[in-house]
Amino acid sequence: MPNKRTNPDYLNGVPELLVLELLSRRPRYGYQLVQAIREATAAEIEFGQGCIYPILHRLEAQGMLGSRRENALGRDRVVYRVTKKGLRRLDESVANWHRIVVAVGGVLKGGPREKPALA
Amino acid sequence: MKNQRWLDALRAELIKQGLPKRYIRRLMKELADHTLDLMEEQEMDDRKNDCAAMENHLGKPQELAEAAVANYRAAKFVGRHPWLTFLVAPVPVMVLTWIGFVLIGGGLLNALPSILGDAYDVEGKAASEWLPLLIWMVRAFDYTLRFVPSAAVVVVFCYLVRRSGRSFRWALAACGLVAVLSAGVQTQLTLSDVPGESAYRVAFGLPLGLSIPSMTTIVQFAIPLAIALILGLRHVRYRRQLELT
Repeated sequence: MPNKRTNPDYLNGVPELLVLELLSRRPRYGYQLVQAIREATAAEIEFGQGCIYPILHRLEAQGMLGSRRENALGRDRVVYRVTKKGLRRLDESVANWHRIVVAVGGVLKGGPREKPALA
Repeated sequence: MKNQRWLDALRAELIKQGLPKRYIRRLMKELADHTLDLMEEQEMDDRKNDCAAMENHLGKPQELAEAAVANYRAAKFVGRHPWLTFLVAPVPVMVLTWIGFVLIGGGLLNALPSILGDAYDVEGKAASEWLPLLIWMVRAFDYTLRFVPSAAVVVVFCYLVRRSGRSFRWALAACGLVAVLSAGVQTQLTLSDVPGESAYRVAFGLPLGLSIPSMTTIVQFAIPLAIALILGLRHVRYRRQLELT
């Protein structure tokens, strides 16, 4: 199976935004979160699934997530939930994201393209 | 289980990157759970469940270890700002530690009469009238001021470098700075038989001239470095043990 390139450079900060948004809806453990991202983005955005854990641990260390070991589906798992600080960060990130989408959209809608120069 | 190969490769990478044991254990536990979920969901058979399949789903061990290090460092101030923490902070931290140490020592000396009685009052007395225990305490304070604050600061920076997920070289740089500062501390204890003339002076001056530094200065310089080297060797041994287990 060929390796997919799953985390392009322009996705910087996007995993964090998705994690906070999805956890703000309900607490989940890592695997559920990966599934939720895949479903919510119709598999358009996929990062190496393992990368979700370092992001979760960082957000937890920064006080944006809380975690608790809970029994879920017959196994002990670390379930993450968003804290108040995380919700504030989420609001900021969403506002930034909308600004960027509008700005980039403006450029892309810009105008007619010139004919390419002859090489 | 063949996914164990992927997990082992990842563990080796995480150890190589110098992440703390507790963090590695937690990450490995969650990833092991994740691989079980993956196998259950996809009904991976033993043929498919190999390292390549794991890499495809979870990422290459080396890339994941790099992501883990980047996120671990980004979570803490000391990880994000190693220059500030290990090359700038040692100077103010050392100075503040000395000031704190002197204030605590002076405060204790002033508080002794009210705690242990007037026999411990040194105000307006000749040193010959001081209690032997008191003289011993003042001398002990003089020696500890030369060595203990710098040793304590070195231990703190070695601890911080382990917590930050950064190379131990940062701690060695910080400890080198602390050693130089420590060598510059000079104290003078004068126990005079003239009442009220006993004095304790603390000064700072780096031995930059051509004159040979005193044995005390050399020891003041060597102790922080020796502690840093011992902790550094322990750190290396600990990582080797981690690789073996």
